[in-house]
Formats: sequence, C-alpha cells, structure tokens
Amino acid sequence: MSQDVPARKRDAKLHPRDTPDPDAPPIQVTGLHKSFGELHVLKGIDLTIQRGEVVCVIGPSGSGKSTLLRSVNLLEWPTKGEVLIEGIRVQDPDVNLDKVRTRIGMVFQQFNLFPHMTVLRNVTIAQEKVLQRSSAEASEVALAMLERVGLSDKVDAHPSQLSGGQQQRVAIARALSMNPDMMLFDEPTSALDPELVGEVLEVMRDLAREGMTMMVVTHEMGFAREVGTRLIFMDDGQIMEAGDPREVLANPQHPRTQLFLSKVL
Amino acid sequence: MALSDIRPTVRRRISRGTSYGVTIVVLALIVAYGSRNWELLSRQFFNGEVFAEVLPNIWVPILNTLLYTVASFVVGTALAIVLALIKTSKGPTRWFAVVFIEVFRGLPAMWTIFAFAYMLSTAFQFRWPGGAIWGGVLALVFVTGAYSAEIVRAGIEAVPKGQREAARSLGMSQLTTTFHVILPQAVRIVIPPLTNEFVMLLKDTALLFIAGATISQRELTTFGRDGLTTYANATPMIVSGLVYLVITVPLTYLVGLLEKKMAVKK
Repeated sequence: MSQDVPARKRDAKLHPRDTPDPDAPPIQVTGLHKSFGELHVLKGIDLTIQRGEVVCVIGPSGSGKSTLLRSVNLLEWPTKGEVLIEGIRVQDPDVNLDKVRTRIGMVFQQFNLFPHMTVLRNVTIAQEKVLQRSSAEASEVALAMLERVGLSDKVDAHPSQLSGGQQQRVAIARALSMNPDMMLFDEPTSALDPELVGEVLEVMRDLAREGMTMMVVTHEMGFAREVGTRLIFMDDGQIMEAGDPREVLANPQHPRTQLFLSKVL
Repeated sequence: MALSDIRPTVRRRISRGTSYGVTIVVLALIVAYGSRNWELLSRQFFNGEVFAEVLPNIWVPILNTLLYTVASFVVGTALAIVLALIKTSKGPTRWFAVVFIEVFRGLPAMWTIFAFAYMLSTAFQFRWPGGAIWGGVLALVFVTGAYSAEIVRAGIEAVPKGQREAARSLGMSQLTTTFHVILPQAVRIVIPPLTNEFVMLLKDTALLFIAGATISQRELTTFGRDGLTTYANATPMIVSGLVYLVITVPLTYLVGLLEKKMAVKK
C-alpha cells in the first residue's frame, strides 16, 4: 500500500472490518452449510488454509467440492456458517465484497474469458475498472502476466481463436493481474483435451512454487500428489479425510476414500 | 390405389408437377386479365401523369417515415434495455417492468397511438408540442420498447452465467459487470431480432395516419391515402407501397444473413 495521502484517504473511508489482517489465515471456513432448495450440498465444513498452502480437494461429482470453493468468494452464499478471508467476515453487510474478491483470484472449469474482448483487454479491464489503474499501467501488468503464462504473442487474439489450454492460461493471467493473495481453481483442466492439460498444470505448478496460496478442486491426482501440501477428500457434503497428499493417496483411511481412489487411480 | 400406395419418388414428381401446373395457370390468368384490361390497369395503378405530379411531394413522407421509425426505435430500444435490466433484477421494482411490458404488448398498437395522440390530450387538456402525431410517436416508443424489452431480456439471459461469475470474481461491481461484460454480449445476440423489430416498427408507422399529421408531417401511408382521394387514382398508394418494400425486403434479408452468421459463429 502506497503511503501518499489520497490512498490513505481512500482507506479511511472503508469500514475497519474491510482491512485484511496479515496474520490471519487467508481462508477460514467454519460450520459451513449450503442448501439449494431441498438439496443439502454442504453439511458443515470446517477448513482453514494457511498462507502458502496448496490445498487440493477431490471427491466424486456431487460431493460439494465446487460449491465449497465457490462459497469462499461468495459466488454461493452460505446457508449457515461463516467464511473469513484474511480475517474479514465476508458475509458482514458492511464489508465491501467486491474489494475482498479482488484479493481472491478464481479460475473456472469453462475458462469464462470475455469473448467480445481481446486477450489483452480480458486481462486489463478489471485492473482499470476495479483497481483504477491507468490503461498504461494495466497493459504493463497484463503483458507481464501473459508473458508469465507464455502467451505474450496472443495479446491481440480473441478467446475463440485460442485453444482450451491457451484460454485457461489467459484466465489465470487475468486472475493474477489483480495481484491476488490467494487463488481458487475450480476443476481447471477438466474441460481440456488431454494433451492440453500439461501446459495449464505447469503454470499452476510455477505459481505454487512461488508460494501462492491455492485451493484447487481437481481430478488430477498426479498434480495433487506432487504439488499439493494437503489433500482433502469430500463426499456427501462433508470432508471425509484430509492430510498429506502422498499419505492419503497411498494409504487412505476412510472406506469412502478407499472406494473413490480405487475407481480413479 | 390410394395416394400412399404410390412410391415416394413418384409421389414427389406428381406433386412437383401439380405445383408447376398451378403456377402456369395462375400466371396465364393474370396475363390474360392484364392484357385485356391493360388500359384500366395502367391508368389506375401506374399512371404516369399522377406519378409525375406526386413525385416531388414524396420525399418529405419518406423522410418522415424514416424519422418516426428511427426516433421511436432509438428511444424505444433505450427504454427496452432499461425495462429488461429492471425485469431481470431482483426485488419488487421488477413488477413495474412486467406490468409495463404486458400492457403495451397486450394493447393494439392502433389503440395506443390513438390514446396517446388524442385521449390523453383531451383528458388532461394539453397539446402535444409539435402536434398530436408526436403523441403517436411516443406511443410507438412504448409499444416497441415493450416488445424489444422481451428481446433484450432473452439476450441477457442467453449470456452464459459464467460470464457474470468471472466478472464478479474479479471484483467488478454489479453495474460494471452489466455494462462491460453482459450487455455488449447480449447486444450482439439481439441484433438480428432487433433489426426485425425495426422492420415491424417501420410498418407500424403507417398507423400514425390516425394521429392527424399536417402536410409536412405526413408519412408514406397518409401520403398514399391523400393521393388516392385527391386524384381518385391508385398510383400514389402503389408508389408508397413500393417505397416500403424497397426498405423492408432488403432489411429482412439482412436479418436472415445476420442470423446465419451468428449460427456459424456458435
């Protein structure tokens, strides 16, 4: 945070509860329940993710893993329970949710790039409209991020001209351009052709190596084993088992984990 | 032997033969009637003298028709976007949009034009600035706004919901998301149906003839009707009809092209 006067003025207007606590865990979920009508998707989730952790979430479809991830930045509003982002109670009506969301990067299964914009514009628009960066500054950041994901030659292309893997890398660059403190990945490689999975995982591996806090819903057990610092197995809206990825994958304790892993490995 | 017993290829050949036969007979009848009554037809419908006399006066009605169409289209589309945004929003205000849309789609356009041009000004004792016809144009704004609102709403709902989620997850506000992410995509989707609406609206300006135009405010239908009564001749009606077709037929084809292009893009 810069120390010039206007910046301080802007901060002063904010409710104190908006200010992130650097010592608090990036993500803290307590007693989280989520229902869609009759359907009880999350049944009491408690989860704390510390800075620099790479938490991989696995589980059968319908187990609630995506819903849990989407609850972290309140794309799904919890039915019960609490979500704290860097110590901020995000459900508090006084909290500026948009501001909190700028610190949580999110990558979707379907990429969700903006199809009517060029690659560059995809990566600059939120910087300009949300962070109020100048277009020159936003472009500079965007180019650096696109370089990082290996797509600096695609700045003028439209998303439809890119492969799935390239689109997903742009989506990652777009999220990173906001300088988030943490990244959420919702099955980032599930919509990709098998030969394009590697390039996306490579980018994610780099991010993990640089110490980014990550929560990844995935079916890539290899990635979970190699990069993850913790593996969570979910089933039926609950966390069934959690622990070191190598251990959980090699020696699952819960019968449901054993059953699931026997099917996917 | 029943028709269904005949082999399909043969049946198709027979039905094609029948349709050619009917076409030829109808054309022959028209030509026969036309050649026998050519004198009457050309005098009544394609009268050179009447044409020469009305030609200098047709440009103002053409411009007026376009003016009424474009004005009500532009304002009506803006209204439609507002109505669509209100209708797709949550909360009780959406009922305002729902009622507005149902009322103006449910009433005959002619009734609405007459009500705006004369009923309101009579009931509330005022004059429309520029004349009653502008009350009629306002009615067209509301009618086309109501129809287009449903088109725009469908367009907004056709934008995948992941687009909104991606924008919101980047910290964009509801408003920024709507204006920079959702609407630009929705507009692309609704260009063909809105062009269609433009054609319908152009034809609906003919209804303004009941709103009482001054000479300088006449649109094409009023122009045709005035010519018909002045000269007791159909030529002005034919001319105005042709002008409508020259505008509407290419636009209709354009809509078809745009739709095909959109389909390919998907």
